[in-house]
Order: sequence, then structure tokens, then C-alpha cells
Amino acid sequence: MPTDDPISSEILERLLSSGPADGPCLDADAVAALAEGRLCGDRRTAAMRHVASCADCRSWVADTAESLDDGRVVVRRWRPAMAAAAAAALVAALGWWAVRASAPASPREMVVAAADRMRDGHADVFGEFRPLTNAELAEPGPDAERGGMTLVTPAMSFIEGRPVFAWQPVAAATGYAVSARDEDGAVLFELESSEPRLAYPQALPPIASGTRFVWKVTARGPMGEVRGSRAARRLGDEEAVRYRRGLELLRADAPGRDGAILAAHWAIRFGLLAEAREAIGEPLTGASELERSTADYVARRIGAK
Amino acid sequence: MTEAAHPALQRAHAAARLVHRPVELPFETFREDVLRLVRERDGDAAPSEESIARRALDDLYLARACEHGCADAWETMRRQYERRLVGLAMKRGARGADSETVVSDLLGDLTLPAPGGAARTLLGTYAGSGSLWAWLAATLVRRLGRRAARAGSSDIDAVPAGRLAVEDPPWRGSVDRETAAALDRALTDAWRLLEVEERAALSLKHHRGLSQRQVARILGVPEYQVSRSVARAVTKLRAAVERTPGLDRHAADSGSGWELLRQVLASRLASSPAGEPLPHEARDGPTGRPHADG
Repeated sequence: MPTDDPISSEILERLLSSGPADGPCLDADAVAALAEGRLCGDRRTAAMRHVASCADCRSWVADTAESLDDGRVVVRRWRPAMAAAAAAALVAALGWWAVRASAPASPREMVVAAADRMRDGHADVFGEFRPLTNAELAEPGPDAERGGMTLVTPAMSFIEGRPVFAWQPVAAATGYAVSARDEDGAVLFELESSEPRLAYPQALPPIASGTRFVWKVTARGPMGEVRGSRAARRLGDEEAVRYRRGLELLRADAPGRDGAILAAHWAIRFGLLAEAREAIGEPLTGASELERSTADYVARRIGAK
Repeated sequence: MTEAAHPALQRAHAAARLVHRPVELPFETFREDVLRLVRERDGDAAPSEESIARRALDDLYLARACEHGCADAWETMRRQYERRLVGLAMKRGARGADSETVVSDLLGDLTLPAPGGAARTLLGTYAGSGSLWAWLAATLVRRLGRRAARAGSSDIDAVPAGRLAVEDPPWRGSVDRETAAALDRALTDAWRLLEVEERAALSLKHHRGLSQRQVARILGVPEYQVSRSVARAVTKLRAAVERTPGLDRHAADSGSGWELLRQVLASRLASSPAGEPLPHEARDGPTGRPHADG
């Protein structure tokens, strides 16, 4: 592709300086929003049009976007645990160290180091947060299927007061009855759906923060009824704020796939499996073992696997 | 929706009080400030719940508390951001104590009146369109860039905007005058006809050297769409070159007009003064910042 050729920069240089700037220059508020991808609608279109025609603002946006992505983790330090393991064979260890010092850190080390850094920088948010260990990721966990069907989301915890309830469809089902009861047995809602999902209605009051409940689905069809149930909890206000704050800091300070893995582990620690699934996505070809085992863990817990 | 409603504001206020303890900004003040800022920015007399919720409301809480001089607000802001800003200044080339001085000056200046009386303090101009961290980073980056430009430093943002005089198209002199003018016109017209997203993607990715992920974030599109936008833009520009009248005469030896253009530019680059790195070299060179992977 010719665009990979530096000559393209020279063509662009000519083109980018070929006319007056489109619209007024940006201020720090617009630059920040654009660099974070938070500008929407007409404001973003106008800002992009200007950025494509004004070298000064383009530089400002680009530098800010780069700055927000700064802080890539490079692990080069010698770890005590590694030293202990290597002490048994000094010569071998020295040889290994020579290789180790020049080799890139493993994905797990990168993620653990990024978590260390986040804890050091924001102890009030990250507290004792640690990424899940390999042993934790390998735990089978509770069976997502309760009864004759698998309820998918909300699973474990969720944030918004009006979640979307989703479950795996039952063949030939003609309709589903969905209900929930809190810890005291009080009915939170009883609803009907013709599809294997139900958006919690706007007409009902939102599920209160911190509420624990069990939701049940009964599928009705020509063969009779099939039932499934699952426990869930809406995060408390302080937990939700802490989770969001941490996620924002991770997005700012831990970019790339390491950041995505860390964000998934951060969500898992809150029981936010849907958020973890969104963070980790579908591992692509070449994904690290940590990435795969994290995605596998989330899919297993949600019941999608 | 009446102004008294806006549950997003009430939720955000309650959450922000927890996050920024012990800073206390009264809800009424917060509500009025946010609605005014959204009205000013979005030009919407009656801001929707969605446009309000899109703001970085908990950051706005802290910024507005600073603006109103609430107890502990400035200290809280400094505590939350000073260390990160010093780290950023160092990553952008400021050295040791200098990075701390730059950040200290910046945080001090945020308390000064905003230009034109737009707000009581400079921090008061933050409207929550992005996070407060991004706003502070943008402000610091701007300041460092200007400082480097004043000092003629090669440490920060040393990437030259371009080596070729923009008043003088690089292909002039390599083809006859009419063809050069036609080429210039064709490329410029094609550039103006590109979609906004195509222009922005091409300029940010290949002129400023941002990674695909960074460009995708700015444009608000998936990463794969950035590649497609860039490819579409190049195809259109290339088509404009190929269609340029008269270029085929010069292109006989090169195979195509696009190839000729590349050769002309390569020859110009080879004959330009040495010592100043090309943009793509400077990004990976000793004075440039490492290029983030996409």
C-alpha cells in the first residue's frame, strides 16, 4: 500500500496546507474530548473537519491522544521470586538472565506490572487489586445452568438499575415468564417475554443499588415447562463509583491489550462478567494464553460455554 | 423534562461526592453549572438527559468545586493529578525537577482568571466534554509544545511539520508547468472531495503518525474502519493523479502517474539538505517518542 511509504507524508504535507483552516480552532475541552473519542455528532464532525485542515490543532490533538496512551509497561527488573528459583543453578540462571534482560516480558508479567503501577498510583481506587492467578482462572466455578436452562445475563453483578435479562432459548418455546425475588422473598417483578431476552421496563422503578436477588425464567411450550434460575446483585453505589473510576484510570494509563486484560480482571473482581466480556472481547489469532484463559473464564461463568 | 429533574445529575452528584470526599459542592450549584455549560457547548437550550450523561460529570464536580473555591477542592485536584502530570511531562521530554516545575506552574496558573473573563479561573473553562485528566494532559502538552518551540528545543515535539516548502509543490520543475499546475489542482480537488473521516484518518495516521487505535478512538469508529478510510482516501487521490491531463507523457518511463509522482518526490527528498530527519524517521529516532503500535 503506497500509504506506508514516507513519500505519502510529503504529498499529504502539500494537501494539508492547500487551503484555509475549516472552522475555528479547538480549545482544550474539545481537544480532550476528541482525543478520548468522546465528542459526538455535529461537534465531532466539525472538529474532525478542522483537524484535517489546521496543522496546529492536528498536532495538539495527536500529541494529547499520544499522551493519553503513554505509560506502556516495560518490565525489565529482576524479580526476587525469579532470583530464588534461579539460585539453584547459578550458571544457568546467569545465562537465563542474559536472555531475560533483553527479551520482552510475558503477557502475565506485563499485566501484573501494570496492576502494580495502578495500585501504586491510585491506592484509593485499586487498593489490594490483583489480576486473577492462573489457578483462579482455571477454577471451574459454579455451573451457570440451574434447572433445565441457562440464564446468561445479568450474571453475578451488574451496574445499571435496569439491566437486560438474557437466557439461552428453549426449542419450541412459545413464551417466557420472568420473575425475581429478593433475599427476603419479596417479589421484585413478574414479567412476560416472547423472546429469550427482556429489557427491564422503564415503567418500573430501577432495581435498587446493592439488591441481591434470584431471577427465574419459565419457558412454556408444547412439551410443557422448562425452568432456570440465577442469582444476581446490583452493585452498591460506592462499588459502582470505584469500578468506574478504576476503569477510567485503566483506559488512561494502561493502553493496548494488556490494559484490556487488566480491565477484564478488574471487572471480574467486582463480579461484572458482562463488562469483563466486553473488555476482553473475542481473542484473535496470536492472542496470549492469559488473554485466552481470561476470555474462557468469563464465557464459562456467564454460561456461554 | 424540567430542570428540576435530570436524575443523571443527581446520581452523578451523589457519586462524585463519594469520589472526591471531603469536597462538598452543593447540588444546586452543580446542576446550574452543568446545565449552563452543556447549553453553551451544545447550543441546546434544553439539554437532554443523554447530552448531560455524556459529560464527565464526576470530573466536572471537582472542577466546579475548584471554580467556586470550595474547601479542599484545589488540594484534592492537585493530589489526584499532580503526580500523573509530572509523569506525563517527563514522558514528553521534560527532565527531573523541570517536570515538577512545569506541572507546579501549570497547576498554579489554573487558579488564575480565564482569558476574556470566561470563568473565574482557567480551570473553570473545563466543560466536561472529555475527562479532566485529558483536559489537563491537553493543557500540559500545549504548554510543553510552545515552550519547546520558543526554545528551539529538539527534545519535545521535534518532528518537523514537513521538509518541503508548501508554497512550492514538490513536483514543480519535474514535469512541465501545465502538468504541474494540473496535478496540483487535481490533488487539491480530490482532497477536498474526500469524506471528513477519510481526511482526518489519513492526516492523523500518516501525517501525525498516530496508531490505528488512537485514530479509531478520535474518529469514534472501529479500528478496521480506519484502514478502510485510509485505503479509500489513497485510492481517490491516486485516481486523481492518474487522471491528470498531460501526466501520461512524463509517466511513460515510470509506468504510471502515481509512480512518477513517487519518483519525483523521492528525488526531491534525496536532494534536500541532510541533517533534518524525515517525519517517519523522527518518530522512531533517538529524539522522537516511540511509535505506539496499533
